[in-house]
Amino acid sequence: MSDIRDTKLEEQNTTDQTEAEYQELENNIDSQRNTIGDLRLRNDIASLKDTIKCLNNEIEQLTLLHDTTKKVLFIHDIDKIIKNFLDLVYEITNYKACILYFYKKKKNSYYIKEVRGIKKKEAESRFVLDKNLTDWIMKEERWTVLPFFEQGLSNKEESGMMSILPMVHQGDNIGFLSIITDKDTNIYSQENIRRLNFVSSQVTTALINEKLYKRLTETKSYLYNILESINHGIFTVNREGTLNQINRNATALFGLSDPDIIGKNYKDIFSIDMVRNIDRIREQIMKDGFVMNYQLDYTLNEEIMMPVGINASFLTGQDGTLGDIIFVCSHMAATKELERLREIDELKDEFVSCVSHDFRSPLAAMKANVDALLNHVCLDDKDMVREFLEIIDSEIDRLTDLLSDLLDLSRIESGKSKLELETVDPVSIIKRAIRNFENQDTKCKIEFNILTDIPKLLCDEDKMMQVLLNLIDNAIKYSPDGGKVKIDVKSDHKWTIIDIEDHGIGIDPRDIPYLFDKFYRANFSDTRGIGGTGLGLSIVKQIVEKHRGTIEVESVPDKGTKFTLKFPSKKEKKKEVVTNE
Amino acid sequence: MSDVDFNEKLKRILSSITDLSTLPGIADNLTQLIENPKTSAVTVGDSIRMDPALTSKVLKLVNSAFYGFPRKINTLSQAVVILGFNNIKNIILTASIFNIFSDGKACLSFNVEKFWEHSMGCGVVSKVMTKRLGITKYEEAFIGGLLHDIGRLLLFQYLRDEFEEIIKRVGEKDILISEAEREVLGIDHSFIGKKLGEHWNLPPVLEEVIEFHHDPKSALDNSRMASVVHLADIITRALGLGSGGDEKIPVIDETAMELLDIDLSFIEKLLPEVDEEMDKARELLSLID
Repeated sequence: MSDIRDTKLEEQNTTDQTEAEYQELENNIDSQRNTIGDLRLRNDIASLKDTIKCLNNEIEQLTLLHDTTKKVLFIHDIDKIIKNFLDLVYEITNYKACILYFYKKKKNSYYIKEVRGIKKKEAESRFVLDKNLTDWIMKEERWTVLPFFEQGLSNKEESGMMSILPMVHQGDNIGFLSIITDKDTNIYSQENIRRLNFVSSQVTTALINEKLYKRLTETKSYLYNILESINHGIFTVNREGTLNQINRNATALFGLSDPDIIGKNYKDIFSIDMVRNIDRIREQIMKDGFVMNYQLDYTLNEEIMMPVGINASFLTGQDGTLGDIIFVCSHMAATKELERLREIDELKDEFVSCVSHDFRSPLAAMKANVDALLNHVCLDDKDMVREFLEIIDSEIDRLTDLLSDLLDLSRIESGKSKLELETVDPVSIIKRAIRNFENQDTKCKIEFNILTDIPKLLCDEDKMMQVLLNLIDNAIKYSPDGGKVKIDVKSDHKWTIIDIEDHGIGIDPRDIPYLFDKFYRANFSDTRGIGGTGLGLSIVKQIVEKHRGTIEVESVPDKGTKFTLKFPSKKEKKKEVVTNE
Repeated sequence: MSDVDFNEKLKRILSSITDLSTLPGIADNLTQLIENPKTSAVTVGDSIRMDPALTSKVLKLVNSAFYGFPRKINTLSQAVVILGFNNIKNIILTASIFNIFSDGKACLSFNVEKFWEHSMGCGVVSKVMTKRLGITKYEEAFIGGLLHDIGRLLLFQYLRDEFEEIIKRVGEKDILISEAEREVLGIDHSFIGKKLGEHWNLPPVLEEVIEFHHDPKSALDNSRMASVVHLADIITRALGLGSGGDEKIPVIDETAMELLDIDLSFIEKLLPEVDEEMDKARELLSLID
């Protein structure tokens, strides 16, 4: 607005008369104001001198207070803050006694924290404050004298005066200080008001800071405990590669013995291999934002190498900015062992369930037949009795086979069944196996082809025979009547390969992955009434693998199945030349 | 408006100010006394006691619900030590200014009671806001809010023809009263208020708040206090507390919000306390009048 006025005044050069009048008016006002001012100055010169003196005095005192309260602000010990506070207030008021009350938010009440010049009990009994009064003073947030408390500290003393100095900061109520002084009417001065309010505000801030500092320290210690208790190695690295945090598990996991590694670059702390891995993880994080299940083998020393799994991601600030990278590392050996145990546990359950089922079927059949013999069948009808006994006999065979297979499997898996290795000719074993079936009344023709020279094998002959008998038996079982089972044997010098192929019903591709599992029987077996324990192929696989061989299967439903066995050929020992010198 | 007209009106305004009574000696003395750090409650009490009418008014005001002290205050020295120097100074200043403007003739188009209610509302909002902001000078904020439109009262009382014209334009053109003032006078109530402040030798902070309550960023030393009063003025209008002469709500100066580092949610939180304080302030208003 003054701009408008100024502009207008600048434009008024043309109106000299008005200008003169305005000027005269302004001059009059100024002159009157100056006259009043001069008079005041002359009349109050002494007062002004006093004021200047007081102001200088105040500057000195405020400087002193400032320095002192600066010390208060940096203290995080509540007892020291209180001591300094009460000392400062004493310097200003020369109090006879004081009572420091702290506010308890939960109870909305005050309790005595500290007393000086008076006993706590006396303070509690003689200086009880009306809650309305204290509430009013706390709301006003300034030093207030209470003229209603004009009494001494003891009956013998002259009466004193009580004032209240609140400690409030932006609605955060800390408490107040009751100050008991001599009855001195001059104590309530602008100078003291300013000083006490200033000291109170500084101490309040210090007490709030102390609370925050304490909470911060507790939170830090709590988080530190969590960090140290976590069953993983944890460390953080900033963008520049400086290690900012590492827990005990991480130092133990990576065998870091230097106690002062925080603040150093990770490249100066970890082994070259680990540094390479961290580099890779950092690259991936920069690309994807996180890394899950990064696996590595960490060489702790010449003897210990351990599998380590790492998850890593960015830590984010409150504003969402990306900060350090946090690495969470686990020793995978324990995890893997746990996984293995869990698998074994599952297998055991599955095994018990399968075995129970497979035992129950023949037992149930036997029970039914025995029951029939005892109660229903006329024992004079010998043919009928024989028929029932044959069924029972067959079921006993089934049980025996099952038990025998189970024992075999158990021995192989537990390592109790040791291979009796010897050098044998695989062709002769195959021929013997085929003969075994030729002696029986087989429904299929078996064709055997030796495609190359076949080297000898180092194997357990009986076990090898068991493998071949099982596979040939399966091939016959799943072939149609009059079908052909073809056995080819060949060698590429490294491996001796035996193919056993039928042209039978084949296997559903969905069954193939489970074919070698214990008790697994392809769907068609039951429906077509083909018997078996469901353990044969599992035993075959175990035996083949014990011989460091492999077994593979190819099958097309309704076309046939081919099992391929591969065994390492026996290496020819170099002939040693012995010379007699 | 021609330059001659403008100068003529300015001359009349300044002349009205010069003719206006100065504040009673006690108000002026008190300001000086309180500036002296060694001044005690007794000195202040003695100084007020010399004016029996003022003494009685002060005792009536300090016992009002507005100050809300839970016991009866019987003596001036009690009043000073309980309410503090600044509150006492403000009470005397307010009572004196009310006294000067007490004989205004009624005017159909301008309701003085509504004007004072608006001013009191602005004082209350300013006080509540400064307290929430942690600004210790909330007593000054209160009186700053109370006196922010004092220039308009001078127009109402001593330049009645022009004031009627201003009010007429507000009704006809649907403009802010400040705009109407500038159209009619070439200046507005802020400028007049500033001149009044100089005439009464008001503390510099009050002068600046009165002059810059529509343009807080231009205040030199007291831009935060001027921002508080600027916002309080608008909040009071928005809440419909009294009337400053028009019913329009000016636009908030964003720099005021920036200077105080607040947003609208801060203002919303003030409202329950403003309601409570305003009830007490109305009682104070009736006691001063």
